[in-house]
Amino acid sequence: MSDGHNTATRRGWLATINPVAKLAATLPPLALLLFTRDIATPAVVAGFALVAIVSGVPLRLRTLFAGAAAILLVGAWTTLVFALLTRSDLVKDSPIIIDGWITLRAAAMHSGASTAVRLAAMMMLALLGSFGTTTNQLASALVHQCRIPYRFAYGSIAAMRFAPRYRQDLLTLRAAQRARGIIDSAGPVGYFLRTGRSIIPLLAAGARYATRLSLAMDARGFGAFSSRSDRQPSVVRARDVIFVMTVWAGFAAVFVTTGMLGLLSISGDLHDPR
Amino acid sequence: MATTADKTNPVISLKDVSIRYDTSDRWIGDQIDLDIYPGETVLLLGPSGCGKSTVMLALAGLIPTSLEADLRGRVLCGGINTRHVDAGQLAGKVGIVFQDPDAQVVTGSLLDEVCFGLENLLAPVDEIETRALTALRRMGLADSREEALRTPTELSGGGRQRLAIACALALDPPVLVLDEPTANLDPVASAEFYAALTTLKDASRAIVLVEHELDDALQLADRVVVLDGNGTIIHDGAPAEVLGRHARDLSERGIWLPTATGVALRLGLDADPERELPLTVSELAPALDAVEAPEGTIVSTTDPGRSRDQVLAQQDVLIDVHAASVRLGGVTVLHGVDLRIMSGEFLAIAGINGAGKSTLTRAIAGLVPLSSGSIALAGTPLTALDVRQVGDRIGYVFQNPEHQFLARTARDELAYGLRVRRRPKHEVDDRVDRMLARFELARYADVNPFLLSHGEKRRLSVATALITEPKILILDEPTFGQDQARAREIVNMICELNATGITIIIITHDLQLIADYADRVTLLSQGRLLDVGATGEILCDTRLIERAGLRPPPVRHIALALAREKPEWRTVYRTGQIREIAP
Repeated sequence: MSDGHNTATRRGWLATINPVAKLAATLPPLALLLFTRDIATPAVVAGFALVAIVSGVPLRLRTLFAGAAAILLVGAWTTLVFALLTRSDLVKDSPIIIDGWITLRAAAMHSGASTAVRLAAMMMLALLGSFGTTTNQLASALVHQCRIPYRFAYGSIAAMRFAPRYRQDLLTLRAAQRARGIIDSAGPVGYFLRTGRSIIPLLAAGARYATRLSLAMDARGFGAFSSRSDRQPSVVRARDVIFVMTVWAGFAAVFVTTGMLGLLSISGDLHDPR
Repeated sequence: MATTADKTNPVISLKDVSIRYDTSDRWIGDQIDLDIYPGETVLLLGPSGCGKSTVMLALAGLIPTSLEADLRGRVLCGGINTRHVDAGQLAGKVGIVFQDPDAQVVTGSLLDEVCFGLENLLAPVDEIETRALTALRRMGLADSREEALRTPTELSGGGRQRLAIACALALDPPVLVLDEPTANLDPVASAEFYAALTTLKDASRAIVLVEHELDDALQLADRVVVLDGNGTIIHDGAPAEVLGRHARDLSERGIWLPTATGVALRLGLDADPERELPLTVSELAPALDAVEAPEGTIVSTTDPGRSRDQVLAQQDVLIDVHAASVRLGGVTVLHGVDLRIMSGEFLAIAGINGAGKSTLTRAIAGLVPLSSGSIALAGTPLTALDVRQVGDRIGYVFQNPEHQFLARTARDELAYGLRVRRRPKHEVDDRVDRMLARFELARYADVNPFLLSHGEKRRLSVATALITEPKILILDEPTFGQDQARAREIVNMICELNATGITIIIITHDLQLIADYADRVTLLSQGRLLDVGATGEILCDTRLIERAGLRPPPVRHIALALAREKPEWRTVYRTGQIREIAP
């Protein structure tokens, strides 16, 4: 592709990494993060992931600030909620830091904060593993690297185009039912009533749409042969291997370092609130 | 139109074909025999629900390869028996364009979209983009690779239908099948679509077309095949022969006719069995000389809307829309619309897709909030009423009746609106029974609404909207996709309601329906009110109609052409202005 290089620089280096390599690089660390209980390790991981994302994907400054603000807010909220959820008998020896209409102890805050940072780090890794991936790249990579049948890979991607239409259908449906004089109460009861009524017509419309789409795809030869031509076949290049190795090595280095500094805390029990 | 077809080697051949879906007991088609030859353009006609689309799916091989259905007889596509291939393998033999532009888009760019089929058929990688770009260029969608990288969502409905042709064309199939390709398109987009399709007609390619709107399609067709209600072929021949000689029969079966043929039929020109009725306006002009009635009395030159205007001017303002704007998802979709709707009038709202028609009517019914401006119903501001109180005054029938069904039986469906208003049981039963009888639904009182036929669903949805006895009825595209007989039935029902004093507000693409029945027309364009006025004034202003992106209604179009020779046609726009003469 003559303009492949231009596209790559415009969309950042992360877009040039094989989508399957990105998943391979980020999924194992993401799973391991589940077992950490300290603040430092996930925080360092989140930091490195953030640096990789910012350098690898062209983000507008506004998007960056909005993202940072969202992470801080969600982080603060998660910290507070998980701190309050911590079993009080586990933290009764630790000093009280807030004592008003709620009582918060330092150990509870630490537990809440570590959960929040852990979630943030996992989110960062998930973003690192998916940013810059287009649906076409992903489909091609799934077919070539994961040996998934192309009918399945491309079929699922075509199905995703249903989402905007589904939203439109839902809006029309709500208006149509309101015109019949339905007034649902606010809150969960109204929500369930509304959803229950929408399901059958939406499923009927969805099934019709799916039939039409699959007919249109068959009419254009989808599934005619066991393979299909790929204009930009997904390949594994040296940079993909380097990317995976770098992420894994970096992650291991973080664990070793925090472990040696005595900061790392690990629990095999996912329910362990420590 | 001379047929250049080579009649020796059919590209499609049906022998003794009948089809039955797995979910149904009914066989569609009674041993259909049909051969289609290279170079032919075949127009397939039939009443609603006769199985045109099913026959089309069978002749394209999608039945039985892709859909669960029984196929009797045999179908050969390019010499291949469709029973012996798998889904997708006939794509190089038959290209298909479906009705719904949305449900055909598979990828994220025009280029990927056209390449999709080529990739599926294992075309050599270095040829794919060149062939795709050639097809896109041919349909006027992209001149360069850069343009071809646009997303399909940027295209209008008409553009997406041309994209669907480009996708089929890239595979260079000897047959192109189109199933009501312009049903979802605006008049101008539909004309552009046919202009693009005409360029594809050549001696090597066959085109099979299913279409309701015949005026555009007939310019292309050199053979017409007509199915009856069971999907059996009853006529097969040249358009002049089939439509020219059997127009009355077709019309009685509920099949739409070309406008010129319909006018000739109305004037009783089929009295002479030797004569073929005209199909186009240029054939109609000389045929008019044969009408027995005196020249001046063929058409009425007085505007039939005039007397109604004076009556309506005396009426109260029932709905007062003042500077109404609506924002949806951050986009202003209605800009400061001012509109006064009189009690008892029949008001039509017209405009292209996205002009804001549904937004305006939904705002009137309190279903979307205004961002500024106000709406009052008989002097009461809409904001002072809840949904049910608005529902007491306005019945709203959505385009898809299924969207409004809430109950398990037709009886409960009708009772719903009264029960939520806590009316006493005897009153509910009484009104429901009367409504069932009035809309001929009594037989289906205990049937699930989803199991009714399309026409019955439509009647039920109108009945549910009327059960609370509103004084205003809003209908969104009530005749969409219906054959002539059903459309007429629906329109008659609406006119009867209007005659009982109910104010009608109707959204429709069908400008002839507006011309024939509406008192006034509101034209919208890009969320703004372009004009509102008496039907005759609006529809006879061709420049205004074109500014709205529409075309004059077919009868008006014909009258304009005839008026060059016969000035009495100058003011004709309504079918009723043409004298009905029994043969």
